[in-house]
Amino acid sequence: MAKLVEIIGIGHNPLMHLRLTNSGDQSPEVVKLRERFGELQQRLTDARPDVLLCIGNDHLNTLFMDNMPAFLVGKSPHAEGPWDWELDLGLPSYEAPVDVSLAKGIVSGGFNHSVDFAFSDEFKIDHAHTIPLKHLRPQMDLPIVPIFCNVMAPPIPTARRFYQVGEALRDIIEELPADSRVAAVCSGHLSVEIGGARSTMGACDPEFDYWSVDMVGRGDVEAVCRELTFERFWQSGNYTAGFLTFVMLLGLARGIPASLYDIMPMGPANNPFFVWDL
Amino acid sequence: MSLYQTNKAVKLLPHNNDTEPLRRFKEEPEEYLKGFDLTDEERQGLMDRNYAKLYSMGVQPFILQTFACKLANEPLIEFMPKYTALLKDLGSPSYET
Repeated sequence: MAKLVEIIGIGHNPLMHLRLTNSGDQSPEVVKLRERFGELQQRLTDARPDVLLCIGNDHLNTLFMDNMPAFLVGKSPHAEGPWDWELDLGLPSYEAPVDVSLAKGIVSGGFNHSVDFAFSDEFKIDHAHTIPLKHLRPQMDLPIVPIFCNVMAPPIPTARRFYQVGEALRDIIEELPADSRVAAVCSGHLSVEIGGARSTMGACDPEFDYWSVDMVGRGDVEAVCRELTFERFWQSGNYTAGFLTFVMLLGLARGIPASLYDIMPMGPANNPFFVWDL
Repeated sequence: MSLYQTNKAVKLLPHNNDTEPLRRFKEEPEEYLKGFDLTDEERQGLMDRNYAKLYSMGVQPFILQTFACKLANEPLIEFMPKYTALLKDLGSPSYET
């Protein structure tokens, strides 16, 4: 039987990646963040995964409003990204084989767990996937299965639905006959406004950031599902619903408190971390 | 309002590896925009590169900013503060299509 062995969630703010990879930047907050990523890479290695389930969103690149799925599984044999316009911004590239058998197993298993995943045999991953993969598994030596969640084109699924799909993913994985060790890596966002009147280079609403990270980290499922509405996200920035991928992680963890959850500020952005050692 | 079509016209420029739409929009915008089912107001907003108007109409802010930046041909980090200043009194209009 397949087994979920580790869950790690981080942010994908481009500024975090740009500062982390600027070797000339030795400010204390950046050094601390590099140490954190070193610890997370080790935790992931210690979990001995065979495959990485990579949960993120698509920034209207592969998926658009002509045919927008709520949740989609990438199942082509190979995944790579990001897009040229993201490379121009200095965002990281990544490529990996896809574990097609696991990807198909998730889609098929979903039908028994009230989740009709869309799937794609032709996609690119963008920085919502390449940033966590690059910083958590820089060796690029494991197959992946990318999951794309719609957090940018309303109507988007509710927090409760993200939680339920996370729970379903856990059940599906554990029912698969393959003897695989699966680790979930994920990226999401804290409060953020992009291309809007309140845009800043960093945190839009630090109060929201600490409140929401604490609620998910403590495993307060009912509060998460009740409080994290689209309207509440909107109050804290026009794309703050990007936080919902972390709610999916809470579902994957079946609602237990995270082993580690915090925010590491690195001017001007807040960077969230969630880890469940299973 | 054909908001989806406006989003599509905007998205094809910066979010596609094919540079042809960008060239066409720069060199023959009227011809480029004929490929989309737009209202006169939407067409004019795009022709004028009136980002404040397009933002107010509910075009996805994420792709509108990238579109504007691509046309300005400036690094995003330098372009963003100027762009945000254009929108400062416009609040957060819904971008649901």
